[in-house]
Amino acid sequence: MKCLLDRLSTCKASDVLWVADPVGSVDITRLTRALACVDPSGWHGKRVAIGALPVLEFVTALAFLDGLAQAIVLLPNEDDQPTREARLAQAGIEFVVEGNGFGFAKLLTQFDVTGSNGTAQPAVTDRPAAIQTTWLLPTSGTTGTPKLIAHTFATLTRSMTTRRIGDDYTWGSLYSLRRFAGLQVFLQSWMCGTPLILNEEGADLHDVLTRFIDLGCNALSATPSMWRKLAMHPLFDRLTLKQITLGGEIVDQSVLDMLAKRFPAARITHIYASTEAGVGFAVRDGRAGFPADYLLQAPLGVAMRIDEQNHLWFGTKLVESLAAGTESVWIDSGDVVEMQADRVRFLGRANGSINVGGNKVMPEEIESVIKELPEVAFVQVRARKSAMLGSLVEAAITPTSGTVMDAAFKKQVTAHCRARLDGFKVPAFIVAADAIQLTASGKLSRMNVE
Amino acid sequence: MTNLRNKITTAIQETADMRGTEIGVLTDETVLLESGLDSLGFAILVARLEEELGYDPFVMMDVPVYPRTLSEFVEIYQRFAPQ
Repeated sequence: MKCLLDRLSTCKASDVLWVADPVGSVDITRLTRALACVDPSGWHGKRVAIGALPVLEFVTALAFLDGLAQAIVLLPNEDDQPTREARLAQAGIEFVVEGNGFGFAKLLTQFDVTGSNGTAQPAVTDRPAAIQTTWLLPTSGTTGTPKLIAHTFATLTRSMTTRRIGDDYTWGSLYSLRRFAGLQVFLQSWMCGTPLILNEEGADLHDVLTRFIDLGCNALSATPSMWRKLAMHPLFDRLTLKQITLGGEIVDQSVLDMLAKRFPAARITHIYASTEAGVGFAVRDGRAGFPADYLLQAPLGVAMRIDEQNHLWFGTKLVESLAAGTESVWIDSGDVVEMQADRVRFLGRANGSINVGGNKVMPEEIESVIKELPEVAFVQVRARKSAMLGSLVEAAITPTSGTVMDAAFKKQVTAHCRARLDGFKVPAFIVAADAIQLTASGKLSRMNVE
Repeated sequence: MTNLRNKITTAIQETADMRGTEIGVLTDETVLLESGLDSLGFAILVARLEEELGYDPFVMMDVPVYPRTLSEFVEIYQRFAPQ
């Protein structure tokens, strides 16, 4: 399989790919008819950026351009003008697709699903032979300076199952498909022939959950922060989930336990993946961290090692698809880990630490201790400037409903932290959180960390 | 003055509670670093007072002053209080 469209030849014409407003279900017949209306010749071998598009137009453009264009850049919607221009120059872009794009969304409304005969194998006609398209993905920025990382269809789908699970699952998309995490959900549902419910970026969470419930969504992938946010939503308990996937941030035991309790029948998978390294590993035993023997056996073909500063490194064969060599390159994930018996556990981001009078503090470590309290729905630990010590630790907490952030509650949090953490890690300030801020890729926004 | 002194002693007490340390009876002559507050406790105390009073005298002073006793500490806060 060289490109996205190659996958369609192994599916039934009536297989539903996407459910999206305003067209409803898009099956393979409908998609191929719409694709056949746009002349591919002008796009062959070009370098194309994809800007702001309605989500249905966006996914159809990906299917159209993969295997046709030389390179595709997915521009984040939140880029400012200088960043956008820098990305376009860096990637040598000739065309930017935005606005109404190719007009696929309109074409799809014309080819109503009732036109499918459900048996004939549709073919996308008149396309030049597929070439290997380079996908340039923006990093999320949690690792510092935003940059573009080169992938191909092969590197993006390397770890994915192509086992047809078709009708058993309906995936929902929770956040931007332009980012690695969202794109993974898109590609995984495409690869195993399951429908994906599409939502516009920035859609209201209440509307999104209502759609998921109405359309029978039973598989979701989200960051731990997003899962916590979902758990606080009144509609959360009405979801009927069979597959729960977590990734993009450190997965702590309390979020795994909460999900297992709410959805006892669901399979819960946590995945370590980054835009730079691709998918590193997946864990399904319900415990935080990953088994130490993954360091020896490279379960998904991605080698891992821990350096003397306890950073986790990934060996990746990214470069093989891009041209020259096939040797693997080692990438510092920037995540700090710790061995605890037979388990490797994540402590936090190396560059996200708070410096308290010369002591390095990982916000994630403190967050995971505070999350042990059942009265805490959500917590973010951040630096608060101190003229004397550089920084002090501040915890912003959203309590569960029914819990009041009074002095007694703050005392309880402090006492719990003091029992579990070194003195300099105990939050000096405990405040009520403002609205929970998640980034476009569903991660807890850490903008206010110094 | 009494009001300011009360606010400061309350903040010292709260900081000590938070840090899990015991504080004896506070008098004007109490030496701060012997009262049970270490340097981290002291930094937390100053940050708390900044939140409550709206200023931090230790970033406002041109020549650094290191208060030893409670009365010296209170005097510094009084001197830099917004007029």
